Amino acid sequence: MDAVEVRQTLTRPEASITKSAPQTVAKKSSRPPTAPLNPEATALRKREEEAQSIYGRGKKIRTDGIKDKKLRGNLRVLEAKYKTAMLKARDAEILLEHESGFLEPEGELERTYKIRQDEIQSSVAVETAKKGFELKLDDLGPYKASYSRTGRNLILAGRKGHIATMNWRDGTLGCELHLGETIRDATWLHNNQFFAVAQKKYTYIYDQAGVEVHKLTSHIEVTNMEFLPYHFLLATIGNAGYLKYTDTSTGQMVAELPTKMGSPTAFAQNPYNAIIHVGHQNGAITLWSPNSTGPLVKILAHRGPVRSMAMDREGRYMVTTGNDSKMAIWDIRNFKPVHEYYLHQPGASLAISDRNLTAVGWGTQVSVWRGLFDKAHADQEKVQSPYMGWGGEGQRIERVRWCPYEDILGISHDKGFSSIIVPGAGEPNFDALEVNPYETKKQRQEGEVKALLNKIQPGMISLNPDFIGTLDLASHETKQKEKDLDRKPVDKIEELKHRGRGRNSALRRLQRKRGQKNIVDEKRLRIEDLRKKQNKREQEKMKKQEEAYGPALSRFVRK
Amino acid sequence: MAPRIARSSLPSAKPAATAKSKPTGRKRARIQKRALDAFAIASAQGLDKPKVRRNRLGQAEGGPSGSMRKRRRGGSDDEDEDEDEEEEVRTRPKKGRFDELDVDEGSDSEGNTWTMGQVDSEGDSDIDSDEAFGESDEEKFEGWTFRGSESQGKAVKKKKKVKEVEVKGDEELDLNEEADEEESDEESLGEDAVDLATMLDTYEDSEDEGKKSNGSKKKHDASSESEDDDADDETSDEESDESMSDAAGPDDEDDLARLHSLVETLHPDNKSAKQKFRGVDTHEGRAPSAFGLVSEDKFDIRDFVSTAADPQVKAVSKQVGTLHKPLKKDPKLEPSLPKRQKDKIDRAVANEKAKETLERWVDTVKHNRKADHLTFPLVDPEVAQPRGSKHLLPTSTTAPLTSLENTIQSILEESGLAKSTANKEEDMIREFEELKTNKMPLEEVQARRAELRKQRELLFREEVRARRIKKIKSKAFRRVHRKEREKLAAMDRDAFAADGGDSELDEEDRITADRRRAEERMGAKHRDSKWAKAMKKSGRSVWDEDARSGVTEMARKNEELRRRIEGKEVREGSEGVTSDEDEESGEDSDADQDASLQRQLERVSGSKDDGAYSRLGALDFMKRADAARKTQNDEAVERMRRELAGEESEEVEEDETIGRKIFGPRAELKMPLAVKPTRNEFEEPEGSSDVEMDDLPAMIEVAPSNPAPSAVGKAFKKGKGKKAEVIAKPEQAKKPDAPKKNQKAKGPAVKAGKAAEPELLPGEVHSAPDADGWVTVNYQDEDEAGGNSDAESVLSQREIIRRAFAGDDVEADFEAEKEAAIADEGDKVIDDTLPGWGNWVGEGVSRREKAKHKGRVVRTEKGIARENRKDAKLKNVIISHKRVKKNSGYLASTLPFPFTNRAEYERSIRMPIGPDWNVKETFQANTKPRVLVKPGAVITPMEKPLV
Repeated sequence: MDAVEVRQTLTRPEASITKSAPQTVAKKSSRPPTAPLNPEATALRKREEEAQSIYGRGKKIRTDGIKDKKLRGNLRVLEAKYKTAMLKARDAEILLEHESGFLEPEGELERTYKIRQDEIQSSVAVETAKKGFELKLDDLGPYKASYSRTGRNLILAGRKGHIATMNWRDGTLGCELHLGETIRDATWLHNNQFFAVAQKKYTYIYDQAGVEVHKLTSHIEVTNMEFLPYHFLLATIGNAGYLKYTDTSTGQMVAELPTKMGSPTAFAQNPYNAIIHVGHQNGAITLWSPNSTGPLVKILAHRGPVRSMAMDREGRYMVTTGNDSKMAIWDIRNFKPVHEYYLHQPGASLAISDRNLTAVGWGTQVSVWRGLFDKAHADQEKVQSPYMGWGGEGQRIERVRWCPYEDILGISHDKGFSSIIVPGAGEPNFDALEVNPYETKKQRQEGEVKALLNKIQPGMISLNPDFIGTLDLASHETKQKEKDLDRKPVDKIEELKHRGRGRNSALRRLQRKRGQKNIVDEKRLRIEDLRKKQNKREQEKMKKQEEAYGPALSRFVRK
Repeated sequence: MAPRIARSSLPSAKPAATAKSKPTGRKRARIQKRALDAFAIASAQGLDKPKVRRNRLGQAEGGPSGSMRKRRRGGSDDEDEDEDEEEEVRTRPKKGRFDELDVDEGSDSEGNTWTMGQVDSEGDSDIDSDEAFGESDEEKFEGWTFRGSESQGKAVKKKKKVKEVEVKGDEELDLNEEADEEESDEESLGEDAVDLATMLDTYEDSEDEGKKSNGSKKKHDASSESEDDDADDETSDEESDESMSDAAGPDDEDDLARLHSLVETLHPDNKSAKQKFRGVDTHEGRAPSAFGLVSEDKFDIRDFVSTAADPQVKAVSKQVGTLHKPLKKDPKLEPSLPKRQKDKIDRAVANEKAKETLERWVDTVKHNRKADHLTFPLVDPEVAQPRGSKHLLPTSTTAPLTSLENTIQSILEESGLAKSTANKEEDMIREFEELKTNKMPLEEVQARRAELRKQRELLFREEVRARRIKKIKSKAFRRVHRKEREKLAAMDRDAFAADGGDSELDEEDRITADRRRAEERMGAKHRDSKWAKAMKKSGRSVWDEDARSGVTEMARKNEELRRRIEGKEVREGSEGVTSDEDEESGEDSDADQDASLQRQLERVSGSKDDGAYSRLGALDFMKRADAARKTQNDEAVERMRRELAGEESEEVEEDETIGRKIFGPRAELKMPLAVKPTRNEFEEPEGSSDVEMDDLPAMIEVAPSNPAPSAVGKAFKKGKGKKAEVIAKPEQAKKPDAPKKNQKAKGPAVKAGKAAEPELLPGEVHSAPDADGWVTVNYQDEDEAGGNSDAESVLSQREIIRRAFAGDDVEADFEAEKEAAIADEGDKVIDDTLPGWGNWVGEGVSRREKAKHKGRVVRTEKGIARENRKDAKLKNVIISHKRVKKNSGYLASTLPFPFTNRAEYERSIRMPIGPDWNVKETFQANTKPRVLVKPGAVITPMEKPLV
């Protein structure tokens, strides 16, 4: 290796001399295809490759074969645009001011998982150290916690009916409820203004002050909940095994899908494509979208019940734990197992951070794994030891959740809630247009409106979220078959019955559109009839108004 | 052919003009008076203006001239003058008879001028050629026979008419203008006046003109008219000539006389005639020719005569005297092409012209079409933008461009930041010198230059020398520094020793550090040192002996180093290098030993007693003993090997015990949770073991935290009696040949296990005896054979769990489900047979009959074949292939137009354009509208091609 390097360095100056000479003399002369690139060109190409690997969207297509000149030109322009966009995105990386780093052992013998929280807290900045805290809530049973999308707000739901929301950074309590009945799950909705709680029988939505806003009577005996922020869908599943989607912006039930697999044991959403994963008693995991009645995919992942699941941000990998003490890594684009690890106890809860740290709670302990999967590697390495560990002090872990945009892991257990510092876990650079952890009230409000305007329809949920706009590859027959031939024709007149009055009313327009004044058919008669009725109604209304206004003011009556 | 209808507009237009031009009684008188004056003036001045008017009137002649004529008749005071004119006119020879064709029927002999227009305009449609040829005419043209039939004549006329129609538009325009002028400039000569004057003066010519307008004519601009005039005359005359040639009438003398007059008028050389008309001819003759051709050379009578075959004509030519030589044929005299062909040619030429003008725009249009964005109003690229508005110009070289720059420059100069003044001075000096050298002789200049060069050279050398001298330090300096260094090093060493590092290590460290330093010196410094760089830069090695030797030394070292790095022996290398290698080999000695040991082991294990057995050896018990020894030996070898291989890993691994991992408090780890592999023959069989666990899941939960059962081994069993793990008793394992015995003793237990579930124990592994004599038995999976202790321990647990859930038969269920899905989504056979069609139904139909008619009409619906499924190769995965209807609404049902395949289309929508996925710049560029219109700006069409 060294020899090669040295030789390269030796030969470099000569090469540069020989190359630079013809360049200066005649730049026009085209380079032979096998000639080595000059350093600038190689640097440029390298930069491009890097940008392509991060920001690129697939391969270029060949435009040489296209015969249509205009199309060819357009596609070339498009490719050029893509390339510039890619490079610009890469260049904009310098705006990401924060860096992420992990705990690094100094020697070979040092192990990062042996570092305790108090050691970390003593060595980090005071403000950061404050983020690690503990809440002792012994009485009201195992807690389940969840963070809002911004990571500022935390909801704690005790099994025995205790709900508390708080801005954990400030340490201010939002609201505290004692519901007096079993709480199985709680989750924030699109922002910190609303949260849903799965109670003994029904599911309720409360506002930030703890006032009950909605009672979702159709969501019965819910055990797990997930909120899909881009679709405004609250997905729940209950003991009966019915997966239900409710649009929280309109309140409509979008889909109600029987899993037919009994009570679920695990429930999670894939943040990449909004597919819901449900773990079952028999070790199977099913993947659901609100658009199909059956599961999209079914995987037999574990022996015995699946305990928990988590998907990474990019939707490439899934980590599951089961009652068989196994922790399995899956490539969920190909549905292939990547690796299997064995825990000393069945993993009760899993969470994957934005920077792909995997926290798994088992028994009384939590371990954080780093590099369980890495998209950059062709074949994944099997990690030998966890990155960090916590616990072992007698509190049974109920749920682990990563705080967005923070190096914080929230662990809820039967004795309360602990927030621990895990260096390198959170995304250091947030996109304020997407989620802003430091948003003001105004920004939150505007963001809410914007999110509602940008709401995605549930029909757009699919395993491959890029499918929109692509070509339908179904054959003509299948398309024909899909058409509902027995559909009743729409009765336009009936539709327009109560719409619009006056000169340009919908009915009149329809009448005009039909043309042919001299043809008197049934439809025409109906339209005329309807119009007459409308007019009559209007007249009556006016008369009434006139009476109400009195003789002096009657002329101000408006239609 | 132009449409005929157009002509009808002319007469309608005319009456208006006539009505307008008709003045009332008093006014008329005044106008006429003025007209007379005007005439006088005009005749004196040569009349430029009337010329134009004339021509215009010539187009629209009918109305004004006619009316004027009438007026004149009505007016009594001008009569005498009129009379005079008429007389004058009469004296002139009469023109060609063909002209007189146009004369209206009812007109008298003098009124041929004003009637001509009428034929042209309104009379044309009404009056037939026959009618036009009235009685008086008949008298006149008694002797003439017209060539061709009537229809032919008509055809000629029609042709003329068509041409006239082409002009008609202009005529109308002119009429309007005329009317305008009448109103606006009455003080200047009125229309009538001019007309009258010219008419009076050029009686004959007006006749000609009339004929012109009657015949085919195309008005061009005034400048060409004069030139056209002659040609036109000739062409019209040509026609008359043709008719003349055909003529063979009795009134020859009369005709001849007329011909004379004709020739006189036509012949250019006829000075008298020309002089006579001079005043008028210059402007009057400038009418466009019939074919739009303009000729410089004039026509001769010879042109006509040469074509005339008639003897009489020849005679005439003799009389004339100038017609002897027939001149060469003039192409202009060739009969013109048929109209259609001519038009075709015209169109082709016009098309080409149009194309040419359009092609100038092609680039611009293309450019604009291709442009990503267009901003209206368009900016002319040629309009010079202020320099430096787009690109920054170098400030150092250029002079300040703008006033701002000027002021800044001046400020800079004042503050001393810019040295332009100094530069200026220097420049001035240089210029001055150059100027001076210009005056000097060449030799002197050269000599001066050489001198200068020499001076510079010397200076440079001096500089180099000075630098070298500067580097030389005194002995004292070096000594002091060395001492300081040594002191520091000693301090370091002491500190290290105090810390507890032994001196040997220190020594070693020093050696390695030295070595590294040396390497570095050899490696990088020789190339990248300041000295080397300076060498390269100054090129001193060319002339400096020392420097050159240094460079060669450097190259040599370079080469040497490379060789050394490549692992070759350096023959003349320094001693240090070789010693280093020696050291390395010394270090490697341990490894070598290991390797040799390995080799020996290999030899031992590989050697087989393949030689002939002795007779004793062939005996059974000897064989057995041999085999036993062999296994023992093998084991020993294996162990040694493992030890050799596992040295490093052992160092790293904290946990030496192999087997199940024990969780919970550390103290419990020491509890021997080993599995008893063997049972003595004297011991009780396993089934009777007193301790039994029947609740396995509970055990799994508890096991890690619970201390293992103290002394007595346990056999974990599931409720179903499946064997989980066997724990060996330490007493049994204490013997040195425990493994062997274990195996032996295992027999019944294994058998028992096999009886329960035969495939359970394929990978049973016994560990080597512990220090305490414990042996762990593990059940290893095939795939996890090489796992570490942790994995192994978990493995066993996994096995337990596998067995725990074995009863559910989940996998089989799943497989069945997958099969069902495959069948459901695969090809389907649908029986379309209708009961009752071609068979009997109802009571009494035998079962066989029914079965016979079952699958008569069958169709298969295509589904997804098993091998085409996405989960075809995935175990334990079912992927639904059902079409998601709700998603299909978001798909493109057909390939959009310009795209030719799917890849192109999908590529075109691949990149999102929203601000969430793009840099702001990209987003704005992507969403900028293609056409931007500046609000409030008037967008004028492009005046010229911009590219």
